[in-house]
Formats: sequence, structure tokens, C-alpha cells
Amino acid sequence: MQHIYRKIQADPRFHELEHKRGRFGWTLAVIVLANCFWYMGATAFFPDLAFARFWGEPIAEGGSTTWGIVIGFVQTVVFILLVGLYIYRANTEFDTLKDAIVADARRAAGE
Amino acid sequence: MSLNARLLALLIGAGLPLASLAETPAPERDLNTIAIGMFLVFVMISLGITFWAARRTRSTSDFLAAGGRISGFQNGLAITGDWVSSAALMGIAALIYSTGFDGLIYSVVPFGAWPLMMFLMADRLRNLGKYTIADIVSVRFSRIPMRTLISLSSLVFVVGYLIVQMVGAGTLISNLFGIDYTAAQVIIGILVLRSSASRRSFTSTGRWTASTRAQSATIHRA
Repeated sequence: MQHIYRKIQADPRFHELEHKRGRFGWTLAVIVLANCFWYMGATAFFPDLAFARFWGEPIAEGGSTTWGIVIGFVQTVVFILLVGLYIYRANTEFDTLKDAIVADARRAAGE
Repeated sequence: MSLNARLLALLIGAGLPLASLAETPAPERDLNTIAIGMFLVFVMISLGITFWAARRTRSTSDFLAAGGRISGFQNGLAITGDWVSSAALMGIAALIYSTGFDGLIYSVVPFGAWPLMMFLMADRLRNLGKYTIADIVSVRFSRIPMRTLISLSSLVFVVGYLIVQMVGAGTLISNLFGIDYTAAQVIIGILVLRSSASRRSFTSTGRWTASTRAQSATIHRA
């Protein structure tokens, strides 16, 4: 078993996979974090800014649902789409690469 | 004591101020048959899931993380159950009550935690082939102290969470049936114990929150 691990560690494609997946994952994570901090930060600390005041406005005259709620739900949808994007790329690209690396390492280790 | 202060006390895990909130006597009112009927249907469904899961529990490994054989769809249901019970029943209701309808926006950001776990952790843990945080940490570290530490921290976390759930459910029952708060707590206690007869059903119904939170997001990616 240890032998296979070493074979995988030595495979340049393994480091390529780690690098690609890490960069992709962190890019998406930064998008999510930026969205959260921008939205809640402006709501909590800068409610007087023009755009923050806009999402305090009700959608319809006299209604209680504000634009902020709409933006919040749009963000939720964006998060779901980002997860879908990640799953798509992981299932096609990353998993193919991973399976190839593991298969080669097994063969090299004689199992 | 203001409601915000109570919420704060709730957040830091002190259950006492909350208990005093629940001790305010439930106003006498007519029995709400529709609400009671829906409640009973819900209890029946969750007990049904419990018995169904208990029948499928055969070995000791089935008691933890459902034997590691949860499908992606089942796992999605478990996460949804977690989210709906804790966020929708407890958190968002209280936020809207205390801050108005705009309190709903607070529910957006916690949702961002799921994508983060997905992007940064899920793939690695899935490839590792382990199902619980304790198993994952034990790969690299000494098993017994690590498992002890994780068990203790989960229990501490669960106690804080349990107080909130029990107070919420007890208040709900005592208002719904017009019975004493203490009696309502006993009924809830019996129901929870009954449905935890099978640990597998914890994952099925999303009750085993503290540990499944992290583990369920990571078991299955698709």
C-alpha cells in the first residue's frame, strides 16, 4: 500500500491534478467569500452607501419585501450554479485524471 | 432582558435565560385541530423512517455514518433536513420575529458555508475514503486521544444545540396542545429517544447534526 502512495507521489500528473483542483477550488471559494462579505458587510456597517440604501427599498410600494432579499436569493442561486460548475468539472476532468493516476500506480506496483 | 440579549445568550450556549423565556405560561386557547393533525402526520412519517432504518441496521458499522453506504440523494436529504430544521425552524423564525422580514437576509450567508466545504474539502476527503471527521483526523494522528477530543467537542456542541431544539419543540408542543411546558418536554424527550433507537436514522432524518454537518457535506460530491 505504501508503495502505491509513493508511486502516486512521484507521478507528475498527480501534482498537476492537485495544482489545477486547488486553484479552481480556491477561485470559486474566493468568489463565494467575497459575495458574502460584500453583502453582509455593506448591510451591517455601511447602510448609508447608495447601493446599500437601494437594497433597503421595497420592491413594491408599501410592501415589506426589499431589494436586499431579492439580491440574497440571487446569491443563493449563484452559489448553487458555482457548485454545479465544480461538480461538472470534477466529475469529468479531475476524476478521469485521478482514475488514470491510480490505475498506473497500481500497475507499476504490480497489483 | 431584551430579545437580542436572549439570542446572544443562546448563541454562546447558555441555556438558562432561554429556559426562563419558555416558562412564560402558554395562553389558554382552543385546540387547533389542523395544526395538531399536521404535527401527528409529521411524527408518524419520522417514526416510519426510523423503523424503516432500524430494520436495515444490521451491524455495528451501520450505527455510524449509516455504514458508509449513503447515496448522494439520501445525503442531500439529510443535509436538507439539517438545514430546514435548524435554520428555518429556529433561526430564521426568530430573526424575522425580532428584526422584521429583512431578517431573512441573514440566512443567505450561512448558506455560503456549503459551497466552501465543497470546493476546498470534499474532494480530498472523498478520495481518502473516510466518512467521519474522527476517522479523517485519525489517519495522521494518534487515534485514541484524537477520537476522545473529537467526541468531547461534538458532545459539548450537541448539548448547546439540543437545549435550543428542546426549548423550541417544548414551547411548540405546549402551545399546540395547551399543556404544561414540563409535560411537553417529557413528550418531546420520549419522541426523540424513540427515533434515536436506530443511529442510522440520525443520518436519515438529519438529527445527528454536529458531526453529520461536516461529514455529510464531504461524503458524496455528486
